[in-house]
Amino acid sequence: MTIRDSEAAAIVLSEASPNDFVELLKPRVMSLVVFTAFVGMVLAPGSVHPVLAAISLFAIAVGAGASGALNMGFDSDIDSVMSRTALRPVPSGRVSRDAALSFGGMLALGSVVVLGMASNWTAAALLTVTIGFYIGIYTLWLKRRTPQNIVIGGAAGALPPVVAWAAVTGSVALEPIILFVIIFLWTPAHFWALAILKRDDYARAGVPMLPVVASKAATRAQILLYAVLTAISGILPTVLGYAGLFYAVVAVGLGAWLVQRALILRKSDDASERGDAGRLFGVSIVYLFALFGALLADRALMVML
Amino acid sequence: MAGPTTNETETGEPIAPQPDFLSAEASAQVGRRRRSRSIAIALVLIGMVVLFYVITIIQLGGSGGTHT
Repeated sequence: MTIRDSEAAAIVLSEASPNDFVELLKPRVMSLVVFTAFVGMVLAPGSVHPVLAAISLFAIAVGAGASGALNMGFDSDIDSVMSRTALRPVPSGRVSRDAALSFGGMLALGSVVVLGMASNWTAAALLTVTIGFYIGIYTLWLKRRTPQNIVIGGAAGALPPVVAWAAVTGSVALEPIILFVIIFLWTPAHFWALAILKRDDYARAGVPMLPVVASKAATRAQILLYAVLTAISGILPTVLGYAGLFYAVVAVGLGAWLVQRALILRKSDDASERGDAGRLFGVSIVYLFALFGALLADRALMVML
Repeated sequence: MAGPTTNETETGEPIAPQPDFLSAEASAQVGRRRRSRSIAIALVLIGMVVLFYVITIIQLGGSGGTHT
């Protein structure tokens, strides 16, 4: 029996620093998860010890990070041929694929156990579903097979506020499901705008993102459709009585902004497409942070008045 | 750059790869990164101990929260 050369090289040339493992967690995605989960936690009725609340939020964030690490492990072949991701720790060779998968797996298990201990096992089960959906349904099944990958897979990214709500209440109600719906409907327009910018990358990697497999007109129409649906879902908290007038005004304004950017992209020509897609991508990020921020502000106003 | 060498003993047991190509500078850098990884793992383990301790103390104190 001999040690394979690849294993030997991995042993000798392991140059991973702690920062590489932090990068595996996709910190920017984690920030969105932490923020939406925080909003879900604040809006939930009932009380929870502030330290346990912070630990629960931390566990949800680590669970999201674990999903990112597992994703980078499973998708290293795709990442290596895309300019956006070629410098990630696995495709660049700083962290081995097996190390990324082991790291992600351990973090996933640890985050679920910590969340279960700090809050309740309903929340822990939901976090398990979230991680399992992102890896099993999105990464391993849908991503390489259908242009609807991000539509269905977006459910995983939309679940953190529901998990956070369950961490406080031990159950799920309509209110966090509305937050889920908002993020779920927001995801396609957000990612397809990015996919327009990285169309060649996705085509080279063989990932059937909508802008790769559909015509430009069809892609822009789908983006507009989801932007409109997102804007409509954004006002549901007020319509259903969970938020007040302040939130409604902000939600309508933000929704109009998002739809306007999608309309501009719909009418753009080949020369302006990339610029318009980039602006829509940026606006979509601002939209979600501002909308959830408005929910927090609205709740604070309700408490004060 | 030459690759690491892999060998077997006379009885077929593998011998650990010998890094016959690392310069002193590269070797020192690998050592530094290994050291920083070890420190990070130690800090994470200590953090986990503290985390479980804090969770247990709060839950035992009965102030975990009220569900309404």
